[in-house]
Amino acid sequence: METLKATVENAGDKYSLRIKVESGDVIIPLSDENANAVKSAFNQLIQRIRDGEFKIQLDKEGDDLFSMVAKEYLMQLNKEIREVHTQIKEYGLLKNPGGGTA
Amino acid sequence: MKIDIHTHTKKCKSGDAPTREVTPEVFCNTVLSTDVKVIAVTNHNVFDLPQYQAIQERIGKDAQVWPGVELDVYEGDVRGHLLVIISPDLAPKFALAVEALTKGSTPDSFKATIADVLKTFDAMGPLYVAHYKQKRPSVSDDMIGVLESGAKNKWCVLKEVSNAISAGIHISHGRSSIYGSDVHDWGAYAAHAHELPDLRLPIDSFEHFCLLLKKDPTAINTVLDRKTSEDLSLAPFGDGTTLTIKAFNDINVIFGPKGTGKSCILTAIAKHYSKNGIDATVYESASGRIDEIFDLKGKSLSVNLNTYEISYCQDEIEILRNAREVDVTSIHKYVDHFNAANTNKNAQKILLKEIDPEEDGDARRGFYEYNKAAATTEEFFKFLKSDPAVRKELSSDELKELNRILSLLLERLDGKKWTGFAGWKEIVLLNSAINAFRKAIHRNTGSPAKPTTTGFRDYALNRIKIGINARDVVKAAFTKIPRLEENVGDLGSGKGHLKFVTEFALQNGDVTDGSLSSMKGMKKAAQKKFMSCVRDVVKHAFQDDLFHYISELNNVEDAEGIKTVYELLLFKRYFTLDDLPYTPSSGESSMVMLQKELGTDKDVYILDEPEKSLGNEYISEVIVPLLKERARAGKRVFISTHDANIAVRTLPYCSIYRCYGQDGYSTYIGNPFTNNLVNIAKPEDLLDWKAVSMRTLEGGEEAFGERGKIYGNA
Repeated sequence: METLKATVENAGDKYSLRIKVESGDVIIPLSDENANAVKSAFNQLIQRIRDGEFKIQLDKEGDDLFSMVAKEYLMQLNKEIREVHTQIKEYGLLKNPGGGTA
Repeated sequence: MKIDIHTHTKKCKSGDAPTREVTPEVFCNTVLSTDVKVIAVTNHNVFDLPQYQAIQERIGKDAQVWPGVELDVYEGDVRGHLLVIISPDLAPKFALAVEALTKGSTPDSFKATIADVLKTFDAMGPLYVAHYKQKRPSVSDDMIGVLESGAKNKWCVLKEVSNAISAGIHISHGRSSIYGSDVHDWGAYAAHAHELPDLRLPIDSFEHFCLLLKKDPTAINTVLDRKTSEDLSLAPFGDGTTLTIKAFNDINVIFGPKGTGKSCILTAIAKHYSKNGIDATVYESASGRIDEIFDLKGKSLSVNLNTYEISYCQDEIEILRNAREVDVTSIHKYVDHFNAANTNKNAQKILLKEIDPEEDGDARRGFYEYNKAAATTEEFFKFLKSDPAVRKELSSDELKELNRILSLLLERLDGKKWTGFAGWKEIVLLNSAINAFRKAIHRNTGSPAKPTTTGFRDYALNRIKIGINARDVVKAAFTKIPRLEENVGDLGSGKGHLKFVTEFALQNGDVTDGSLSSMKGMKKAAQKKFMSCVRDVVKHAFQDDLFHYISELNNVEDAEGIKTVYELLLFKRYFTLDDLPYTPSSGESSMVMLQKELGTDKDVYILDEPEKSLGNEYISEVIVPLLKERARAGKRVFISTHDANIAVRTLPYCSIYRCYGQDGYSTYIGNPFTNNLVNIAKPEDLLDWKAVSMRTLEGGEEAFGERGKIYGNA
């Protein structure tokens, strides 16, 4: 299973979680209430799951609020990614069903 | 049953082909390979008794072989051939007579006068068959006159013509005519035997044949009585008069001028049989109605998609139409949770809230897997116990062993099933408890609970569900349905077979063929747009704009009726000839529909003027043989007709003649064998079947004779 790196970034007072995906970074806003941006990030993650199972690991774990949020968020997200991958596989939606990762 | 009154088994004259020579064995094998059941051996000026007897012995009762001879007869300079055929019982006597007559001559040099022939053979009651007109060398009318005036049985003088057409014309002129194979090559006999004349009445013997020629009523009625028949008592005219007809399991013809109630009789016959539970409807000419009969517009067309392993996708389409986005967990809930300083001492003590919920998917799948395996094993177990074939095949020890293993397996599966169930429910309960505690603490302390899910799982699973349902609809719509082909009938004259084709297609978003119609009255544009949206849903299932396409799908104009894949069905129906689309003319429509009617296996066929819009050639070549074939199969065929080919050439067992005269409407019943038509109200009122047929169907004897001359005085 592959591991994708993630980092908590801030620009001014805006915090976000940047996940390094091969096709382009996926960004989840942490400080803004932007459900559409989260959904868009989720869509990118679903497409990535179709290439193969993965987990996301936070690169630097800080003690600040958003690092704690990101750590908790990713821990739950990883569990859910695993479950979604199982379902995608069951429905034959993997891009390369025979192999591991595409 | 066919008859061949003219065959050769020997090369007698120098001009005879050597292929006329045949052994009794080959003769019998050849004849028995055909439908010929009556055959006369008529060699040139020779009768070979030993050969005839060998043939008789070999052929037994499988066919009748009549002894005969083909004599050279003359009168002055005119020379012709005359067949003399006699009863098989008189073969030895006949051999002596031929020998005496031809003594001192060779087959090439022999010739006799009609007077010689009468003197030699007439006492034996022979059948005389004279070569006539085109059949060379022909016997002159004068010589035939002498023969007819001198013969004991005048009705036994027949004229041999060259083929069926000539025979038909001569018979219609009142001349008893027949034709035989005059075989030249036995190797080719079987191939041409189908052209020989049919015997409409079965013949028991030579004597019987002669009685039928005489139109002896007793002989004819005896034969007719052998045929299955029934008396139909009908009230066809609505005026209380009843009509009783003897209907044969054969051809029964109703003829007469227009407006004399023939169709009413047919309707009454149909009603009679329907009342008795027999499928009987009156067939009327299909001219101009073929589109309607074949349902070209597909008004009653339906198809079961499951036959082609196509899912109707009712649930899938409903899911797509009702698809809604699933919300994700707000990040702020996480921020709020970590941001809040929880000072409540009691809340801090409740550690359960800090436990992270577990995904229950694996545990749930594990339980279902074992549950399914246990249920299947249990079913199999029951099957083994109850199936007689299994009990027969396995000994009691084997069965015991099998039961033991299966019981063991079932026990293990059940064990795992319940362990799995407990594990799954444990997770569900734990998650539920964590949630409940977190909510309670949040409610009681104001300290925001830690969210239990990011929402990704439900969000993704919703998208997956939409994607796979859309995919299933697209897959169904892309499944090919094979075209259906129905053989309609032969168009005659070598044109070929007309077929009726039904093509189906499911609108998958790509179908642009304008000749296709929608099955359930759906608008084609709506079908196409709908499927185009479904395909967009598949394409965008994991993209941000998915619900734009879901919304488009729900807003396709006139597509509300699309509830299943069936509503995407398109079709076209057309006729083909040689695999190319073809529009049959009204005449061709009549042809094929009549063939279809006669091709359908029924007990009773009732045809009202089947000749409408049909050419004579087609009636002769296709329809008359089909009618005869149905009659041979013992079917009851009732035909109202104005066509001589049908009324005369089928030689109906029963002819009903309807006419209107000074006394009003009259009904006569008879048949061509007695040549009588009897008025059912006045039995003493007799009509000549042939004369009435010619007058009613052919415009009278004069008109018929004139046509005969025009056709070449055949």
